[in-house]
Amino acid sequence: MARDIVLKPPRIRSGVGHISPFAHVLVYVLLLGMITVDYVLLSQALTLLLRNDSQYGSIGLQMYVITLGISLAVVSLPHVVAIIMRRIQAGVMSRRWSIVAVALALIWAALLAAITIARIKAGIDAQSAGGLTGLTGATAAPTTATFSWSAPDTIMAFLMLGVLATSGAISFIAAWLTTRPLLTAAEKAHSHVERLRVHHDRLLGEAVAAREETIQAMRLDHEDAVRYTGARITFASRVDLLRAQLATRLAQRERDPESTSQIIRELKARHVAEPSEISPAIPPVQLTDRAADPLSS
Amino acid sequence: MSKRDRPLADYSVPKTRRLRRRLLWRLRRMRDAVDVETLEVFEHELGAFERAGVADIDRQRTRNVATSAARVATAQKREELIRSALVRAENDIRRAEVAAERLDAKLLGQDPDLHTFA
Repeated sequence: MARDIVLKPPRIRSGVGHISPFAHVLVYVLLLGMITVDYVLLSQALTLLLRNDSQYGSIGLQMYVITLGISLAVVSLPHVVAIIMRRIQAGVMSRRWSIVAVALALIWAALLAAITIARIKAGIDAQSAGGLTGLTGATAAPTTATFSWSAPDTIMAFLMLGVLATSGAISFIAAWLTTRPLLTAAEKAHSHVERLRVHHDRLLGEAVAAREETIQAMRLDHEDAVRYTGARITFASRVDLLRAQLATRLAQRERDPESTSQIIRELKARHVAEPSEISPAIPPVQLTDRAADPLSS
Repeated sequence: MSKRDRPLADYSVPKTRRLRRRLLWRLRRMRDAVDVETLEVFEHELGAFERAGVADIDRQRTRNVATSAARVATAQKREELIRSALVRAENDIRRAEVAAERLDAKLLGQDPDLHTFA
């Protein structure tokens, strides 16, 4: 059975060219989550990098600020780059802004490279220093450690690089998907108008059908009234027939038709005297004319 | 056939055969004693029968009127719903056309607040 478009209208979204507020909130929740992940990772890395200084608590607040700033930059730079690219694509911004986009992307890549290198360097330093020198005293002999791909700190640095790059890519993709180009928005608006027109036409068809149905119901009602009148007439004719038969039988039985007609005349006189005999409920005019019937008694 | 399409119940006219037989039988039994009072009794019975029959037909008519009135009310309710839905759809179409025109103007670079789009 087809869907009833009057009681359940199709859900046609209004507001073309904007994402819903819910999706907007979801995008920002996603960005915040990735900033949190980056913050946790970077705080670990920076603690390792600055272990000799941070153990004395000399750069605590500075380290927090640096960590937060780097994680913000890692997430928000691709976002900004995506938005600038979309605006250039839509013609909102001029083509020269692509220089800015490329510069921001380079800054982002340089930031990731610097963090990775610093993490590897911190691993090498820790390995060569041999532990927490400030706590244990510098008794251990400084062994010269070289860079190796399989060192645990190197692997950890590249894993962290992967996570940071992934978060940046996700923010880029989110911005790219939520900012549609202007041409697409215009096309969507036109298709939206088209769908609304189709809905309107189907509603017009439904209106014609409903009109027909109303006329049909009223015609049924009228036919029923006609049949009711017919039934009333039939019943009245049956009763009149009965009266006529009774009167005929009475006239046959009586030897003197004169007296019978006398009785009938008297009855009629009484009958006229009290007119409240039977008041028919519905149209009395349409039924048989009782007053004109000579055998009404 | 659904309930909506079913025609209304037909009318059943009360039969007069039994009353006729009874009255004729009584008339034959009192063939010599017919007078005005007896005829009045007859007339009384006839009148009662007629009133009962009319009331019966009226009852059927009332039932059918209720059915058809409910049917007409349903049809008219649907008609009203469709009318309001049409008005709403026209408003939607007007708004959507305005939005589409605005987007087209932005595409062609005629819109003053072009740079607010992102």
